Amino acid sequence: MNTRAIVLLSILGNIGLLACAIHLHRSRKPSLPSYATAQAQTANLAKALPSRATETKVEVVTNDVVAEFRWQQIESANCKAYVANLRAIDCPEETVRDIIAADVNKLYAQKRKALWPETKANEYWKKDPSWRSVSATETDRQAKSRALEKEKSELLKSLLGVDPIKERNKENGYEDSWDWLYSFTSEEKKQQLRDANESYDQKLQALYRVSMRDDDDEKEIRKLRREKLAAAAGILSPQEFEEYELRTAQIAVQLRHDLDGFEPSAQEFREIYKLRKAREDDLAYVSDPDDEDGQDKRLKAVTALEQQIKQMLGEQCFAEYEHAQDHSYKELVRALKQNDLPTMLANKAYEMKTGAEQAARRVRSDESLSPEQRNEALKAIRGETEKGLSQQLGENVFSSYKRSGGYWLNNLVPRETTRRP
Amino acid sequence: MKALAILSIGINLALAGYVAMQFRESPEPVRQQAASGQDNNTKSSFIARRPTGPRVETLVLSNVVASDFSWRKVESDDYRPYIANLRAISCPEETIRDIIIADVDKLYARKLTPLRKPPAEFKFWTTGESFSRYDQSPEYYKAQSEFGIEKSKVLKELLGADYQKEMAKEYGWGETKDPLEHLPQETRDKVAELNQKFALQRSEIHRKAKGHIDSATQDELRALPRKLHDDLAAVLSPADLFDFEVRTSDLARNMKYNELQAFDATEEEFRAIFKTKQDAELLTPEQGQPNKASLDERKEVDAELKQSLGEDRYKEYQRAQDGDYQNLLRLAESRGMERTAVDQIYQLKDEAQKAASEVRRNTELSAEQRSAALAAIKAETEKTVTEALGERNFKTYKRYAYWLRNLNPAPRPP
Repeated sequence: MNTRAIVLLSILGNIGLLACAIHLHRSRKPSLPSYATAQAQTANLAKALPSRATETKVEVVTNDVVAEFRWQQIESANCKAYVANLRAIDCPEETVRDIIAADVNKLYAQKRKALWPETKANEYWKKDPSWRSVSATETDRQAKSRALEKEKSELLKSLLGVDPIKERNKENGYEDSWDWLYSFTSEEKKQQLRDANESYDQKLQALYRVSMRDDDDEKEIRKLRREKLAAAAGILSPQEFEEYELRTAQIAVQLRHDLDGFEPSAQEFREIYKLRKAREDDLAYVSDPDDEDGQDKRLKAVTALEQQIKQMLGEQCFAEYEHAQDHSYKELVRALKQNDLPTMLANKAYEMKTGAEQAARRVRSDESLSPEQRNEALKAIRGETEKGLSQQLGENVFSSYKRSGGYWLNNLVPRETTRRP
Repeated sequence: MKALAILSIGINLALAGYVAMQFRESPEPVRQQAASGQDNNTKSSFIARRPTGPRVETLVLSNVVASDFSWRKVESDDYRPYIANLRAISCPEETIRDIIIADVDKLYARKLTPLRKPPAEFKFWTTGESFSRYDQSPEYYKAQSEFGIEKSKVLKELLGADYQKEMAKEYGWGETKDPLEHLPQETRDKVAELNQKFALQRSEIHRKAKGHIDSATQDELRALPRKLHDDLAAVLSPADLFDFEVRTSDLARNMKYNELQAFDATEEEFRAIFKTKQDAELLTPEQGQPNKASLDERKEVDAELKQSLGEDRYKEYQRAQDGDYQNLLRLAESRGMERTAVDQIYQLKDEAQKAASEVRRNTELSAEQRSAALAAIKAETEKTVTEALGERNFKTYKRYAYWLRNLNPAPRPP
């Protein structure tokens, strides 16, 4: 074979091999095994998906092959980039929030943990320093912990536009207590109130944690509360401020507790609040048992206040107000509410109480009775009252009431003491 | 010509090498596609965009590599393929858990929505216990508890994850080692079920009480932990039961967070005290006051504890239970005082009470002499306490220190 023939054959070989190579190159598929697996799973997924439309169109796209997608392509140590990447692949906003909220939560959980390095969850026998402690170190840690919570919420809002934890709580039926408490004003003012209250609340928290407070501490607490109210007055309109005060001021909170069983109207509550507020310092509890002047001043303030309330409410309504100051009456109302019975039944039962107590007093002061006769008479009063109450309230409510607010029934008859031999 | 022949043969060799290489690499995906029964439609759904009218299927014809991925390709109405798809794109397991847990959480929250009453409007004049914004119907609370149990089961099945542990990780609550991890899963599930049942029963009692815990409710609440203890005892060995309860029971939590705040117990001491307290609790009748027999048995249990802790530590333990000592300690803590001052005053209290008791028992003293002696003890004690605490702190402490007043109580008005 001469050289020319060899060259000819070789060129033919070149052409054949080139054609074969081009064919192979064109028919080659993306080939990583996990890509194929993912395709297979997505195929099944596609079959499982409910059809969103009744009609199906086939669109032919050329020159577009998908490269294998990896989560690492979108994951980033930079939260903003991570969010942007997730959005870029059409990750639903709700899922973006779930992913970011979990990441941010974990990040801040670590930061919070670092504030209490000595606390190890598995050391079940060790006391928890964050619990009830009032030391300066602990107060400082609590403040830092609150600051971290705030920082977390702000970070989430800056990344996602909303605080997803708050949103999740809402979905679970737990509305943010601030939103609920300040529902009467705008979002902007709510935020201003939060900011303004923060420093006062921190100082107040430190004082609240002191379990043995003295009168100076109490004075400081009242001063801070007044300053906090004044700050709110600077943010809100007069009408809004009135609502704010009646919802959040400590006097109002205490009043809601004290008037349990009275059920005042909005106007009555407003008026009693004003009367109490005007005498706030004089009505403050005097803790020093040796401070006779202080005790006397307080007593006078209480009497004067009651006179004002009586004038405002009228005779009959004031009687109901007075009942509600009695713990046993409050307990009666609670027992009725617990059993879904009308609370007006409490008034009749309370009349029985006052009647029985008056009768018992008469028996006790009756000099003509022997001790045995007196005891028998008192027992009869108690028996009669118990029977009447049971009829009035029903067996269930009476039995429950007897074990909570009905201690006065036992006091009708003196306790029999057993003498030691 | 010779050079042309060499060049052509060289090209042939190169092309033959390329072709051989292509043959080695190409068959795998084809086999996989065949095995998974994949067709053109499958391939097209992988890159389909979000439909805006009729469903659009896209058919890929050529091979230019482009990065194109949409979340819809992994999403599914069914959690299992959703998780499989996320795994297929190498989504980290932790992120998968975050996504699925949040999703399942929302799913159950939505299930509860029809039963949930909206929060009550804030009426500033509404008083007392009725002032509750989250008061829901019994059906709601029942469903909430049942869904809680179901949710944990679903997540366990989907991810093998423990919902409570995952939440603890996310929110930084204490991640504790499971003391029962050496036990079979079935036993652990049973324990979890009993605990959930207990929580459900307890919340039901609270719900019924409507914030009014009377003595009948207290009896019911007291009986529950005992019932749980008995139920757990049927599932766990005594040693496992103890290990579990010393970490998780209400009694143990109360010791950790309240009773032993002033004691600093070692693990051994904590376990010994827990055992004593638990034994004493089990000796107390479920209702009413302890009887004489149970009180005697409790004394025996206490004596065992004394032996176990040793004389000195037992004394310190008793001191730590004293409300007065706890008050003093908190006062010292809040006002930056040394603990030594607290110990000093507590010692003084003991001495002053003993001295006052001796005076009261001394029958040789007249009423006036007795009164004068008690007044002197009181004055001397107050002076020492003032020196230890400072004027302001003493004034505060005096409000709570009934023992100081009782050294020489003021005569009762006639």
